[in-house]
Amino acid sequence: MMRFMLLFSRQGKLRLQKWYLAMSDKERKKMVRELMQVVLARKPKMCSFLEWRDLKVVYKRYASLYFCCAIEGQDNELITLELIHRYVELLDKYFGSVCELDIIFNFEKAYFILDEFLMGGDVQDTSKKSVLKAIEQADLLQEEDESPESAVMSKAHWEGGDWGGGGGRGRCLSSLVGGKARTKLPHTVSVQLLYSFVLYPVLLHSHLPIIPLKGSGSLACNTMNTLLVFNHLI
Amino acid sequence: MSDIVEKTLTALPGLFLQHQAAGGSGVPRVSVSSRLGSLIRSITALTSKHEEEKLIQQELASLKATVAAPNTTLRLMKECMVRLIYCEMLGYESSFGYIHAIKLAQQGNLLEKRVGYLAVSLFLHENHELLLLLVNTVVKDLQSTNLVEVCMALTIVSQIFPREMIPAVLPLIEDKLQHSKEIIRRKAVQALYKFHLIAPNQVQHIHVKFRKALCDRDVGVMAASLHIYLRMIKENPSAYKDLTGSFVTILKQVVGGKLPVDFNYHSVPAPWLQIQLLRILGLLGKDDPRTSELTYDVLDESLRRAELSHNITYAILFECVHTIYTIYPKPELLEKAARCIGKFVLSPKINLKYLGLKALTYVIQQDPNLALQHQMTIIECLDHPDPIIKRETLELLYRITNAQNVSVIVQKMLEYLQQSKEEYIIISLVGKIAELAEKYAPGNEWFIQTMNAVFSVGGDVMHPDIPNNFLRLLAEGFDDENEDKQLRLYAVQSYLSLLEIENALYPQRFLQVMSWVLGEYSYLLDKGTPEIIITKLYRLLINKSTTSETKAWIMAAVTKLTSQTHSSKTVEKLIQEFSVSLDTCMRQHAFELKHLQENVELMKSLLPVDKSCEDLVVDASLSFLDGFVAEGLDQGAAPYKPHHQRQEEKLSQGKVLNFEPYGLSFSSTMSSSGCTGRQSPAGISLSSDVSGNSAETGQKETNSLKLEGVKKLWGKEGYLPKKENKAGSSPELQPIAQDSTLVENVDQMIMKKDQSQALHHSEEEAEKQRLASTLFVGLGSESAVSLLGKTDTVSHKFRRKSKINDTKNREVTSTHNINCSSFSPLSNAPYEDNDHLNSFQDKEDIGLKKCSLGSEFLESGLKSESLTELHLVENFSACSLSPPSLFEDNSMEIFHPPHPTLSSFANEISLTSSLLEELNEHVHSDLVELCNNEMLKVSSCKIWKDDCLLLVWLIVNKSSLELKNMNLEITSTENFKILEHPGFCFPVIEAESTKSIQHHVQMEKLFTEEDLSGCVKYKVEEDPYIQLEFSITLSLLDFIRPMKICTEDFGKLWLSFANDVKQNIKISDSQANLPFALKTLQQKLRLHIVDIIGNEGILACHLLPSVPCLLHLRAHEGMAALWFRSSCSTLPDYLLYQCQKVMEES
Repeated sequence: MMRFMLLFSRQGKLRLQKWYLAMSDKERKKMVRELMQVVLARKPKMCSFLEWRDLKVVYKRYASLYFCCAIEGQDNELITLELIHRYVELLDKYFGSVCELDIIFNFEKAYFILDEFLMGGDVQDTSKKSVLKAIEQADLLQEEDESPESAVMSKAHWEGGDWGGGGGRGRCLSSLVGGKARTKLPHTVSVQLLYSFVLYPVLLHSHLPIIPLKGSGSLACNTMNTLLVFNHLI
Repeated sequence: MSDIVEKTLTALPGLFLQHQAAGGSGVPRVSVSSRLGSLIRSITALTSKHEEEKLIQQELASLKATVAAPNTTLRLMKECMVRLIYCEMLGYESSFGYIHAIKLAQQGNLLEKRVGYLAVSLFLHENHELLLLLVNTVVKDLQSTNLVEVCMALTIVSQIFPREMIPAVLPLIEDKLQHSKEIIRRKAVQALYKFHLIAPNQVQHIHVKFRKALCDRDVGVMAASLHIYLRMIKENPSAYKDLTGSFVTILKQVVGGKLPVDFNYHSVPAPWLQIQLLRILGLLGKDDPRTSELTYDVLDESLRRAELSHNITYAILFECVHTIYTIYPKPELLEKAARCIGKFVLSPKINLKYLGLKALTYVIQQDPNLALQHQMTIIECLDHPDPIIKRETLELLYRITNAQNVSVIVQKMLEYLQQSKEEYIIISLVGKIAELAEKYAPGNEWFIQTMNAVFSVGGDVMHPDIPNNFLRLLAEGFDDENEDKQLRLYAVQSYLSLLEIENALYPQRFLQVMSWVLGEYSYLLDKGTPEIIITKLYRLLINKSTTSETKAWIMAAVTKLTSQTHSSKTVEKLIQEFSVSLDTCMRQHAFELKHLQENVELMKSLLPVDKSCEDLVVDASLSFLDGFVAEGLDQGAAPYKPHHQRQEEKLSQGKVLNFEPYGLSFSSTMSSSGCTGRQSPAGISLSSDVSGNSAETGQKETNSLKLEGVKKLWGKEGYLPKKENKAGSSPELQPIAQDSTLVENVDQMIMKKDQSQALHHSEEEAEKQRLASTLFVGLGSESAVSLLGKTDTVSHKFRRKSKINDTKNREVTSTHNINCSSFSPLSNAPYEDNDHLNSFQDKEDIGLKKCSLGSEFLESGLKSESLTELHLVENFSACSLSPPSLFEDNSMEIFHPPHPTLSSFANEISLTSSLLEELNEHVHSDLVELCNNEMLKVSSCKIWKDDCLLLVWLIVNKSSLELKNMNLEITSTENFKILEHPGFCFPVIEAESTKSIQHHVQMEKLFTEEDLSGCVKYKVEEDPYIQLEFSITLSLLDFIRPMKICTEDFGKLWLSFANDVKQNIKISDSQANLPFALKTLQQKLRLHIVDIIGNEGILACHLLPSVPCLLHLRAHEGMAALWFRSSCSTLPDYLLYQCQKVMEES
């Protein structure tokens, strides 16, 4: 059974935390702090498994984001690693080429997906389709309510436009301020440009897509899933 | 440029507000959480932690105001919750919002509800009190017709739910198991799984429904139910063996790709499901050949299907290997699994390598050859840059350590320790090193050095057992006196040289160990006087970093050393300094030392040299104060009552003042013994010494090692003579590997490698192989021997002596000592008898030996046999019946044999009684028929002899044929001990004749009622054997005998027993009469009434062969307060139960 799951950035900022075991607030904070230190100190070529306190920690880095699960001694480490990957796949499918910013700004969505995928520390549903179906069901209500643009659509839009700083950056900024409605307003454009210049350095690490694209920058986004598989095999 | 940036930045918030106005509720990614967005952005823009804190506090303040405002819409509330969650994630306190999260979940529409539930699950923990407020909402949502609402409720239930409220939702969730939508069914199963985890007995009744879920047509539901099964099977594998077939079938289908493609993960069918099933099968097949048989096929299939291309298949393979090694082994599969482990170990991917090592670690004990196959890889991993790999390798090496490779392995471990900073690692590794060093140390020097390293590194975080065990090892020594001396001497020397180093800081535990060893064994040093050591210790004592606990240890050492010197200036100085210390403990030690120093003789006798292992005779009854007490009593002081007794009296007597003088029982024993018996205080203290109880505590004390010399002040007469017999059988230390053989081995191995692989070896490689040969030496297997050319010899040098043997010796000697020193004053038995007593005890089992006093009574009882007889007959008149009285109607429960006619039975009995003269001499039960058939009848009778229970078996041949090869066998159980051979054989039993067999039975383990079973086998002419089985019930009471002691002895014994049990029971009116109640106990339980004083009675008995138990009974207003004391810890409970039964019956 999984004890907890943490998502944090390379700068040591917590992005998401889910605890499956009752623990006091103080203890949680201490554990998060310590574990982040340990994991961040590890070199890229090192083993993804850690023995930490009485727990096993399985972690994996996607772009600038660390996914980190604590499991019990007798659990299977490899399958936990794959569990992280499946979660990333789910996020990717939902947000469309997910990046850290998506998770920062829509963390509640990330939680919903996680809840649909894992329940009480155990895998609830491993079928990608049914997880997303459940999320979309709930999201549908939202659309009726607020008539938003679906994540995928906004993505498609931003793939078309190239905002100044090259495809990659533009695409990722989409998650920051993206929206069809506003593209018509000239000052919005300037805002976005502003972001790309002013905030870009700050958010440098947060904007990269989580699924790393090794030497495949020119590939279009909708091949992402095949890439995922490909990349994983490397 | 910079001011442009600044300007735009300040304009930003305004722009964003504009968007919102312009775009309305435009895009979800921004507008839904636009406030959150701006919060996040402004945090990102900040540069210092301090600024962030300020900003968040502002944010929280505004949030607090918003959520508390009455006109806040739910929609705004939802947005606030999201921001709150974010703040909480950053580590800021936001408990003010918790209640609003619950409210939101309760009142909001679907979307708001969803956020509300999420906030609840993130904010609250399982035991949070606010969670109770959620229950109502959950119940409402569970009943909702909206699927999404039901889903949400089930999700929250499976995450967080108050245990005590489970009954409120359980029926609703049970209903959901039949829901038409699979997602609801699945979530319901998950919710029930959660309930099973937190309150297993609440869902017990729906186990049947889990089976239905297992057979669900939807894969998701079935998969969810596996979580429950895994858990339940882990708890009780035997209850679910019947499901093995189903699990195997499911796994076969999964492996065979029969599931929907949806469940594939990277084209592997449902890996999570597979792993779950493999784990279940492993649990089911463990140690069970039949169940394992069922799983072999599918495991083979899984191994085959998992083509190595992807991590996920490795995950399945790993689980498969684990299962194969867990279940009942099948050679073929093991071979395949071993090959798989090889693939892991040899993989270039570091994660797989790690798992390979992990797999090796748990299979290594079953299959040491595997380690040999991969030794070079293991060596490489030992120097791996990743500490995790290194650590796993060390774990592996730890499992294969033996006497020959211990020094290399321990060295590697110590190297790792030096680099590691994490407390958990240090604790576990230090423990392992200490264990290995103790088990396999090749020599004194090495052992002490290793332990020094352990203490220095492990310091104060290590397990306290480590220093304790170490000291015990030093103190108890081994079989060779000389070796012991050398070890101790070496320890002393090494500590002295460590203390020599200026400004070296050692952990407190290490200092404690040092000071104890120096205090005990520095006399072994030839050169140097205690003075030098005392000076060193003194320096430690005044060191500021020394804790007060350590100071006490050092002080004890100084005290010991002082007794070995004549006069020491340092000691004087020390006394002076610490007599005014602010630490009261230190001050007391200093004063003690001061007074002891004034009386050299006393000091020497109190602190003898090298006696740390001797048993201390502690006068638990504080008999030296008896005179003082007697004096007090004479002057009219109230006798001392223990706290619980006082409390009880207070309770039972309510608020009424007791004007009557307190019953005499205790004051009389106390004062009489105080006045008369006090002349020989040794006799009194004996009562405590002799009781098994003190032997027990004495042993405990040795276990926990009496380290503080100061405590020895309380020893009454100093020390027992040194224990003499140290006959041990541990083999001598085998000489460790000679260098020449080592080189030879390496050569051999290199040659082999050359031949087989034709590899060119670099220097480095050779180095590695040398390491390998030292590491894997002596891994017990033929190939190991052939490869490395060494025999596996295990040195037992530092292994602790076999404990049982040791304690036995010790116990015997201690009883011996006690007997010799102070037995005679109390007992009337002549002194010579003690030898007899000892030999008697030697024969006895350890557990029963504890009670020398009991056996003493027994013996005196035996001597005055005729007298006892008389009493016995008197006592047992009611419960024991001589044969003729069988036909009378009587009140006692008698087993009336149903089958035989009375006349034949009488006939038999007369026969019996003629056969068994003992029947007339002793109290016995009636003949009870145990079994019969047309040929033969077996009956038995219990004879309650004074010293044992005699079972008499009567075998009656009813037929007119001869019975041949008649065998009677008693099944041996752990509860009984049959003194004779439990089987018996008659070659022939003539027609219509009776044979009898006797067995002396003793109780081995306490019980209330146990069956003793056996069987009779016989042949009629040439027919095959006919077997008849029978059993007889023996109760505890069969082994209880009255113990005849006088009131005074009772008083002494009472004080010496530590195990007591108290209970108040209701008594009926008829029993209100105390003598009557006691009579009942006397008759039914065979207790001896020692005395009746007022409304109190005292009784005594002993459990055969010699465990005494005393009972104090006080009747008071329809209640009887029973108070048992015994030297055996469990006997009082059993007797209490019997008493209650008897009292209820009558």
